[in-house]
Amino acid sequence: MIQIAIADDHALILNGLQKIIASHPDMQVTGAYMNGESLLGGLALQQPDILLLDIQMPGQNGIELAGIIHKKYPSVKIIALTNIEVLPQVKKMMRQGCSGYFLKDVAPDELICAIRSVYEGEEAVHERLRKELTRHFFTSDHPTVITRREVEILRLIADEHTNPEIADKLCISLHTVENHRNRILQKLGVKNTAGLIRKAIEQGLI
Amino acid sequence: MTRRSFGPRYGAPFVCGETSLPFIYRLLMIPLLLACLVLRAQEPGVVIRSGPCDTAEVDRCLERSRQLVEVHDDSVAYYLRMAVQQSYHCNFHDRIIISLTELAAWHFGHSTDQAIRYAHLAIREHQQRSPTSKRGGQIIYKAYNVLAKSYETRGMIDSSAYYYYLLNDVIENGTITDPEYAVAVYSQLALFWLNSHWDVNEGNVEATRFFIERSKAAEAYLKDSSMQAYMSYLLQGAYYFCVGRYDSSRYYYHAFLAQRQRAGTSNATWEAAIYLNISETYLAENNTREAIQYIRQTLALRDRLAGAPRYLLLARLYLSKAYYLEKSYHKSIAAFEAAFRETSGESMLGKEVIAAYQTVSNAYEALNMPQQALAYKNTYIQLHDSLMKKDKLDLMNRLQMKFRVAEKDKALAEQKLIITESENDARRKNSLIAAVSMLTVFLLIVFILWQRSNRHKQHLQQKTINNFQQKMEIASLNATINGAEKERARIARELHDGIGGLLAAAKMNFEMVKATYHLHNRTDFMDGLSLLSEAATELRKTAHNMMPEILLQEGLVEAVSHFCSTVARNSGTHIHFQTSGAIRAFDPNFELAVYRVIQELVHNVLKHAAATEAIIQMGFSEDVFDLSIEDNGIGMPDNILSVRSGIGLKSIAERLKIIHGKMDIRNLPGGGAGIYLEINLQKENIATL
Repeated sequence: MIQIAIADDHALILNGLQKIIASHPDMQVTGAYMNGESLLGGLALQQPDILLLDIQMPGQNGIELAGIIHKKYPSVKIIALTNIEVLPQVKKMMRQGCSGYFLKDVAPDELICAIRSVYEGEEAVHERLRKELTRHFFTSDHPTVITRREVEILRLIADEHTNPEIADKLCISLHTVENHRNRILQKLGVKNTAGLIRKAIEQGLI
Repeated sequence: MTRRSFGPRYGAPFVCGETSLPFIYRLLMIPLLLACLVLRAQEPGVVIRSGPCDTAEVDRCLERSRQLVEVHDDSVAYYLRMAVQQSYHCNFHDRIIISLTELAAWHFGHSTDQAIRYAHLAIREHQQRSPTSKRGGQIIYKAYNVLAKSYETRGMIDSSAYYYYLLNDVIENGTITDPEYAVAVYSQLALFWLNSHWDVNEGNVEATRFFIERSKAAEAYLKDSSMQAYMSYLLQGAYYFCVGRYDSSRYYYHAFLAQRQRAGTSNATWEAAIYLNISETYLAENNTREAIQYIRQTLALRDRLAGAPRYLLLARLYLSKAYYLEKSYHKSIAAFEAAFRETSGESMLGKEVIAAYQTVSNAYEALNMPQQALAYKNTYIQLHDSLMKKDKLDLMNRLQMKFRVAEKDKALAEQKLIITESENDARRKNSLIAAVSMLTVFLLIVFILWQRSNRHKQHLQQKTINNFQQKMEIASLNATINGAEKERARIARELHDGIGGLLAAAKMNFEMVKATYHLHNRTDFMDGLSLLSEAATELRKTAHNMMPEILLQEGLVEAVSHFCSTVARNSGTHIHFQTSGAIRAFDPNFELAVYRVIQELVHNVLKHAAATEAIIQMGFSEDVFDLSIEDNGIGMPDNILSVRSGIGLKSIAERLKIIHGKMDIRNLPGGGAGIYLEINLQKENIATL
């Protein structure tokens, strides 16, 4: 029997979730809480196997609560069930020790599946978010695409224009030109203007 | 002057010594000057020529003529003529002028016509030959002297005055430094003025005294043995005679004679002249006995007076006058006739001679010899008339000359005064101008400074006002935007938490219903459930767009990154989001503004650009934040590029204004558009964390 606790400030959500869980005989809702305070109080008496935790709640929010609960009761596996679908939030919750992250518009079957797999010790993330996370991981932090403005500046540099001259020509500030220049060096992976020009010619940019 | 009366009964013209005295004196000046200049002729430095022409020959002739002055009068003339001929023969410029001048001087004692002729010749030669030696240059002043005296004798006073003043100028200019010559010229000038006492104001006294003083001053430089020494005694004597103080006059005449004899410079001509002058003073006092005594002393010198026949003539005429005054009419007539027996009166015609005709006429009348009396009277009248005419002219001339001299002095004084005045005036004017201009410049500077500071103040004020206005504008914009943003945040939260929660709950309940009643196959129920799900998603999206929680919690980069991934998901445009530089947090309002701008711009790209690729690039650095958004779409329509309005550009501009950002939009070569933003990071934009 999987014991499940639910924390959400919407009574309707609580009800809905209880009904969904109740329809599965191997699962049992042991506690439903409207806020963090009552949640923490309830957990002190009885720890469930799984906690479905909303993030946006009055008082302490889900992120904070996840951290506290994970530290205090490491055996309780937390699944974030929220309306927030931004990746940093997902990452944050996962970092706090959550085992799963789902949006509230998740299909009930999907949620039940997730509860089972988390109970088995796996991690489960809403499919849409998982795709995004993966892409995010594979996207390097380094900018690689050279903008056409940067190509323009490269050409001006090749034409022996100084930074102030470029600034004049493009009606931008000297600082911005310096920004551009540093960025181009970074993007092409070179250290100085000579390398810049060589690389730019190699890549057919100028 | 009383003594100027021409009363016929008393025979005043004859008696009036003022004219006769200088006349005598004039005669004796010439030989003196002659001597002094001949002495100079022997000085070394004269050009000696070889051959038959020898300057020594000429000098010998001149020397000889000098030695013979008192001995053999005719021989003097002979040697002088020899000297002239020799000089012309050898073309000695200096000697020609010297000998001609000496000849003119000699002729003065005999014929003024000849004297004038030779003097003029000398001057002409001088002008043509421009002598090389100093002596040749100075001799010409003697020619001036001869001319001055000759013209004076002939009554041509203005011509005379002309030459006198030439001489005066020459001495004043310091051209002649010889004190003897200076004394001679001053003496003559003094006597000339004594002669010119014709005006009633005695204006001549001043001039006379002036020249006597000059003469005295010059005399101080003379030695006792000089021919010109003690001349001032003579001048004093003449002066006192003219002012009617005969005793004083005689005293000075005697003193003069005594000093000259003591110094051994006395000679016959001088003595004769002084005796005649003294006798004249007695005649003026009607003391005939003393007068006759001095006249006889003069006549006793007759053998030594060959060079000055005029003295003898005058002596006899004075004697005639003296006898007439004694009423010895026969003796008077005899003396008169004796005078003209020895000398022809024609060339010596003067007032004294004419007066003598009246005297003798009166004498005949007294003797009751009317025919002779009438004859002489006629001659007298004839001569007198011409003389009177001459006299009148003379008078006029003298007055005119004096007037001219006075005018000249006055003019000079006036000129000096005018110059001084004008100088003062100019100085005063200059200082006034300087003062005024300095004041003007000062005022101008003060004014300019005042105006500048004023303008500066105004400028500052204007700037402050402008700044203030700008700040006000930005503040009001900020307030508006902040208000709107707050409202959005409130609505967004309500949507998200309230309606979003309800929708989620409703959906959950319907899910339960579906499970309970096995409605999987009921498409109408399933459609409703899916619509409900869709509504929840849309609501979340809308709420997120209205106020992205992520921006507040995770910052600009995460928010934009999320935004890019979400908006790109449902469109055909692939968005590259990249950053450069150290990512840093900014003020929430700044981040929101930037986020909104990016939101708007990216929406535009997605909606209108029809691009397959877009780049959003943020660059962080210390001073500036830059953003580039490029796409490979169809580019911006021209009207948007030019007008920069529409499609939310206005709201972008407002937001940028608040955060001091600058935006550049352009269509890129090869298609697509580029939007470039740079925002200077000012204090208020940087997060105060």
